[in-house]
Amino acid sequence: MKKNRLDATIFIIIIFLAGLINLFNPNKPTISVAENRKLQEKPVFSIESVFNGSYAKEYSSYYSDTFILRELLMQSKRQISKSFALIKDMKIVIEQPQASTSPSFQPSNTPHQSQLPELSLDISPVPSSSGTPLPSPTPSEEPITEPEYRNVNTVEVLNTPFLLVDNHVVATLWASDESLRKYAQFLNELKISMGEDVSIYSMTVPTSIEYFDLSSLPNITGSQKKIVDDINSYTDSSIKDVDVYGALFNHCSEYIYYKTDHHWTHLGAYYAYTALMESMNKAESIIPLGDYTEKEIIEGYIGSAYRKTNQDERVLNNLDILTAYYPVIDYKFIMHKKDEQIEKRLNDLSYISSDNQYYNMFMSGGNGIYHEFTTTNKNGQTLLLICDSYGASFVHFLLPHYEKVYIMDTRYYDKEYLNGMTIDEFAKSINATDISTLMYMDSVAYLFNTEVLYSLLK
Amino acid sequence: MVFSGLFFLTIFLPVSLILYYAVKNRTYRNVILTIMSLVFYAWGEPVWILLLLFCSMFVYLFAIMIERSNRDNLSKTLLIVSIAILIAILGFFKYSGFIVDNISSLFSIENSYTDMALPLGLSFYTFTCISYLVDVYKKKAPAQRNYVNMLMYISLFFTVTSGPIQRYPDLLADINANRESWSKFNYGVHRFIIGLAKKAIIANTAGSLISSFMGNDYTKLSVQGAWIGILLFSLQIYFDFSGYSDMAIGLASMFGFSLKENFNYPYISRSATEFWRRWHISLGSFFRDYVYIPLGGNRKFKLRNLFIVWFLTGLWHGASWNFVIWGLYFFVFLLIEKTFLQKIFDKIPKIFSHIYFVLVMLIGWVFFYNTDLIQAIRYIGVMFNINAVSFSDPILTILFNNNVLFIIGAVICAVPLGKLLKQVFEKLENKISNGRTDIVNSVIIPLINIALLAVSIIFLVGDTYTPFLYFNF
Repeated sequence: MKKNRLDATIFIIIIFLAGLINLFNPNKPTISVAENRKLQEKPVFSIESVFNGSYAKEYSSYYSDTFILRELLMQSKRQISKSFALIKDMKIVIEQPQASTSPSFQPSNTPHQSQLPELSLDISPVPSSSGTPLPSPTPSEEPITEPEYRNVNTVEVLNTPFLLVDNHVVATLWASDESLRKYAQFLNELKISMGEDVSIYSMTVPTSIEYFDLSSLPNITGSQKKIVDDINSYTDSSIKDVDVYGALFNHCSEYIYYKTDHHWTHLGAYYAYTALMESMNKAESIIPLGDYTEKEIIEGYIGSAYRKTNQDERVLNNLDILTAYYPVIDYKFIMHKKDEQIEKRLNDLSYISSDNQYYNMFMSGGNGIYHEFTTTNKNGQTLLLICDSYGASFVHFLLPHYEKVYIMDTRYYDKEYLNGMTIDEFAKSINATDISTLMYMDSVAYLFNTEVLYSLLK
Repeated sequence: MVFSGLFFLTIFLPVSLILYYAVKNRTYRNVILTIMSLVFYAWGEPVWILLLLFCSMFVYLFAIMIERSNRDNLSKTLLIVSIAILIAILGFFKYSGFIVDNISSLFSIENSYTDMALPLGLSFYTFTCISYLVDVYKKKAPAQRNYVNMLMYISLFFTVTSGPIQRYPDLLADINANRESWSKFNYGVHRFIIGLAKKAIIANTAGSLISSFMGNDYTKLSVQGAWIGILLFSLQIYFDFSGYSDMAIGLASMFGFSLKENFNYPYISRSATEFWRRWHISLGSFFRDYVYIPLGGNRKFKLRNLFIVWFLTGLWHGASWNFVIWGLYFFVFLLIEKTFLQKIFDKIPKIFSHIYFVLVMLIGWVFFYNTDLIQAIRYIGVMFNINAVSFSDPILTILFNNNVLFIIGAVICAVPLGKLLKQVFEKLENKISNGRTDIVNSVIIPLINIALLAVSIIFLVGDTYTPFLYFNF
């Protein structure tokens, strides 16, 4: 009779030891810093949770989430995966044209080779793409300087849909037409319900990839300019489409987006605010940025992209600086949550902690069912902002112009809490004088987001 | 619970092994294995374990009645009634939503029926039950008189959720015998590790790459993306399922049972016919022995019988038309091969039949992957550059270059190269040492296994994390 073999012995030792160590490990972690998330907690035992299967499911994920040496093992996995990749961290280098004199905007079928940005892949063959020349307007015809897309030198591929464009993490985006129509339908029906007296504004914010000139890499991402134009054509003429696209385009070479996060910076939000004011015909009352003297500057911010790219180290090449301005008017901020109403402040520094969710500082997490701001203004003006997380860093600039501002993040909308009110009924109940949406492109591009938005009316 | 979960690997399995090997008595060992199997099942399916208990009791009683009824007509009636009830149970849980859907769309009725959640492993264990009843009826084995043994046979934790579908006569000898041995245990560990590595290292990696190549929207798909995407899916599904079967065979072997093989390198096939002799063997032989042959097999209505078998094979994989199409797709190719194609392939070089099969297999998986038929047809259109946006794009090229080594490695693992190398080295060693040493089997393979186990655990730990949350704005 054969004895037990070496591998069987070691197998037994490993599974027994791992089980014992994990069962009796007293120092189970509760958060994972590397992944930037909360780990599964040990589930509470109850008859109900056992019978609906959630106890077993949560216990299994609690067990693997708190597995001994988990972070080290995950790091090893990345190392192993990396060493199996044939070519590491490959880059597309886009060589800039010598003289960008061609004013051509059309992708030409017979391109003049000398005027094209030359594109080459390290090591691998050159892809057969017909690049569009850099759109550079002729100065003599245009007296005012037109904004330009940012030149790109290198593009690296992180995990889909993330790219690293000159050390900025950007995400590719393709919109579904059905979703854009749904978004417009929401606005149109809201307008009908609110009537003539309430102005409705639509703000859609491009993501950072849009302002990079990636024309030499066709089909890499959808055009967000087209998304904006399509929405404008689908919305009723009574809806005021705020030109956020143009406002950010004018300043696209400035620090208006984080490099490691999908949000805009407070500066980006400020430029969008100026566009909203212009759309409201209140350009003369725009408060200059210079008036915002009180601010926080926090260095070393690692945004959500690090987590979403499975901790790709290249994200860490370029840490962000988070600047947060304080409002120039006194305000009271009540966050309405399911079981409590809490008074909070904008720019809550308690969020600057090791879990790296710094963006949450702007509106104390911003996860209330709605957020109610009352200022010292007595002008009777009330704004309802229907938004995603971009709204949290936008509200600061609105406060000087309103007596009341209500921020409602569509993800936390709770009809039951609002006594069964739909969003239009809610707007009437607070006597809103203006309503605006504020959505970044992901929130309008995908039907699962716009269906949530549309359901606010039902 | 899944075999490739850390909880199973480091808690459930060690506890089961301790309890099982702590006692010597055959009856106690069987009772412990049965209890652990029920715990395993209830962990994922706390309510529908009642259905499993009901089914096992049901076939236990009916098998005894079938055996005792000395009149042919009565036993046949009992068999038909019992099979009908098992099929009805499976149909109710698995296909009621599908049937209601089709009827309501046929007569354009408003449909508010919500689908049932399919109890874990139901598709597999009802087939185990059916094969048991038929085998008792055909007197291939006596009916089991001990209910615990019956329950153990149906609920064995290594086969209950995803097979292989076991035949009672094959296991009968093991049930009461002194089945355990060190050589079986060693072999069991070896097979389990191989299966774990297939699942954790290859299948999960392939699965995580698929969406990068295919994307979510086929109108943006390029030709290159479509081919690599479906190749990755074919690798994922093979290594996932054959890995699971390896783990099941390995676990069974640790507890002394010898299960039949379920896969035999299906991707080296040279025809659709051969593929189905190498892919999910226990399902193919179930349909052959319990559907095709009883219907008349090759002797009468051959075409009809084949059609029924392939229709059912497709439908068994899921309650959706795309699976039926997938089954019938193979039916068509089987017919073509039988009528003339095989004769041609016999005369020309083997490479042509390999290419033919790979194409048939990859396109077949498109129907399996896409539950929406229109999407599947759109996808195939992209593969043949009919409605593709482009042939390739630079991002895909980079992704491909970054993963080409993995893809080549996975393809090599899908062919019996490792098996061949092992035989070559065994022969070589035998020649050198005149059969006095066995380093290949006592040192080299164990070391490879240990390395695979370590890497698999590393991969499993990292997989507990969800990489992309759409709602995390």
